[in-house]
Amino acid sequence: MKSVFYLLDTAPYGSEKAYGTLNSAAVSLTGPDVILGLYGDGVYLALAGQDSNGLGVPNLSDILYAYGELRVLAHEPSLLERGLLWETLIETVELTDEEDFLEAMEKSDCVLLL
Amino acid sequence: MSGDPKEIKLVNNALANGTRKKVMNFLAEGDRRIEEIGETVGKAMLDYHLKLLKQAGLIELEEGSASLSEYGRNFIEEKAGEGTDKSPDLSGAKPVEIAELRQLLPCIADPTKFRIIANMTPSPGGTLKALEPLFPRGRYSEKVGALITQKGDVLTTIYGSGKVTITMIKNEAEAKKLLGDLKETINGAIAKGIAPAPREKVRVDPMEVYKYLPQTNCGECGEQGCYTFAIKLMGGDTALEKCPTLEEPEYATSLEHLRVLSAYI
Repeated sequence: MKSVFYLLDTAPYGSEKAYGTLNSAAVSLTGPDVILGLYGDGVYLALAGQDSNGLGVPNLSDILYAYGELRVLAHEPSLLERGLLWETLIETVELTDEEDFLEAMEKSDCVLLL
Repeated sequence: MSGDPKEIKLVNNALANGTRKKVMNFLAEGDRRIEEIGETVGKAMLDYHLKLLKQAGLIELEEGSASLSEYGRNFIEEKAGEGTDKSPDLSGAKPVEIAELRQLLPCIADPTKFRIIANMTPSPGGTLKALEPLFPRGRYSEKVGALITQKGDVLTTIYGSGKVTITMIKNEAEAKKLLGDLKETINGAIAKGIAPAPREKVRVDPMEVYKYLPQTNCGECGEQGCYTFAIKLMGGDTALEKCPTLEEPEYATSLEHLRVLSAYI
């Protein structure tokens, strides 16, 4: 397997899916080409200034910053639908339109969705 | 167009996409018909991108043609002005504090080492670029708005938002010491109130890249040897993935370094 696309389409907090996907993507970095794609409610992970104090879970944006070499694509129409293009986003996140997002998925040897 | 922070963020996000940047640059040369724009920047998703630029107030759309709005034109001119400004200013910058060291995460390549994330307040924003000459191995990346400095194996990245990440840390004590040094260096320059003289930019040089390559000259990448591979990598004519030897576990640390280096070539 040469490339893997992790698709996250659920909100970052409230379940362990985002945490699991992020960790899995981070440990894969030494092997194949890794892309993390944020789609639907998953795009909330792209927001800067996340505060998980009080939730008792790690701050997931910190993980994105710590593994800055992880390529993160955010599906822009999903951001637009949720009014998030009016917010500050994490610097390492690439805004990607529908077509480029799909192309990145199709080009990957495997797509993983938790 | 108002100075509403939300609108400014929309403009920034609108210009963060390559296709939309191309459209803006194309329109800076004059008004264009939509078909002309499609031929130049590509037709895929063009309507969507134009709509977003319009929503951000950067362009105006009228009967099959597009033009820069007054706001859009001013924005582009301001940007061009910034590019020629060779002496970024530190006056008015406030001393920074390291607010908190938030997480220690394992380094991927070397599980005995850590990566840390810390917060710097106030967020340095645009002053980061002015700080670049303070670090002998510092590079400011316009693309991500971050200052990356290197000292031995340790890479420090400071983002405009104030996030600081450091890789290849032995323990928390080392992280705290490095963060303390970083704060002193930055505050020292801010206290003087003048930006350090811009120096000849230290670029990633091929020897540096070569140092982290396997140096086996196996030729599997299709190049004559590792040094040729390094040169081609610098020129963007090849990619790290072309070197199968780097995928081997013993080169994991080197690969991590190369990935960071190549991101900022």
